[in-house]
Amino acid sequence: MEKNQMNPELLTKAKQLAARDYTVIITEDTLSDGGKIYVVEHPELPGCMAQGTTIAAAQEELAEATVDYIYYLLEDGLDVPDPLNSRTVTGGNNVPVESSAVGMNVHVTIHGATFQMDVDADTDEDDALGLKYSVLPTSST
Amino acid sequence: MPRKVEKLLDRARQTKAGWKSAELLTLYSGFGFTIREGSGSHKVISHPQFTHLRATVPDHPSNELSKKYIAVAVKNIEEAIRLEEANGEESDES
Repeated sequence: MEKNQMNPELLTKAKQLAARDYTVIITEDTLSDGGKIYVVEHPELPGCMAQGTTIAAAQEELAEATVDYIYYLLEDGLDVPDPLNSRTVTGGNNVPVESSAVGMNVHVTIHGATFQMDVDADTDEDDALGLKYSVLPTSST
Repeated sequence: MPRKVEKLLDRARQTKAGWKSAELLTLYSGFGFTIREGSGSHKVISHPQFTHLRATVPDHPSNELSKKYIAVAVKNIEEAIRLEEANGEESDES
């Protein structure tokens, strides 16, 4: 694997795009030694995620991973997905969630408001790996 | 396809706990995904042909990964295999 020299101009653009208000999904997971770990992701950017032993650490890592993810979208000449329209989500429509979140405690943060949902494999199942769930607000920050 | 990589994919399908970054990167690269350096502590994974198949992976070799990374890898790899097979069938027909 070669060390890539990143293009400063593209990196600046990636940072600007990554600073937009993307949806954040926080999932708590347990490691094999029983330790807790948090995974945070942006559903608008499939596969863009980070982990940390605290939510804050995971979010810090995600900020960095998002820049890198967007940088390579730009380098490959691909469109960078926009953040979800908050009205779409808070209106009770579906948010895509990976099936790996089934049974986990999932929080979604959209424009500063936090939602919690119980991920149930029987709910609105689209297919084995692309489940969708309704999100109901439980608290605001 | 090398047997070692297929075994690794089988393991990923069956057990999502206990994986390290290096193993996951081996799995991705074994199925033709490109691994690129990020600006900090992540690598960015993408498929050269099916460019929507992407992921980020932490670049901390000794840390255990969340099961979510493994689930995403299995999903990406299975989708790449499915698309490759579909493309192969189209070529056979033409």
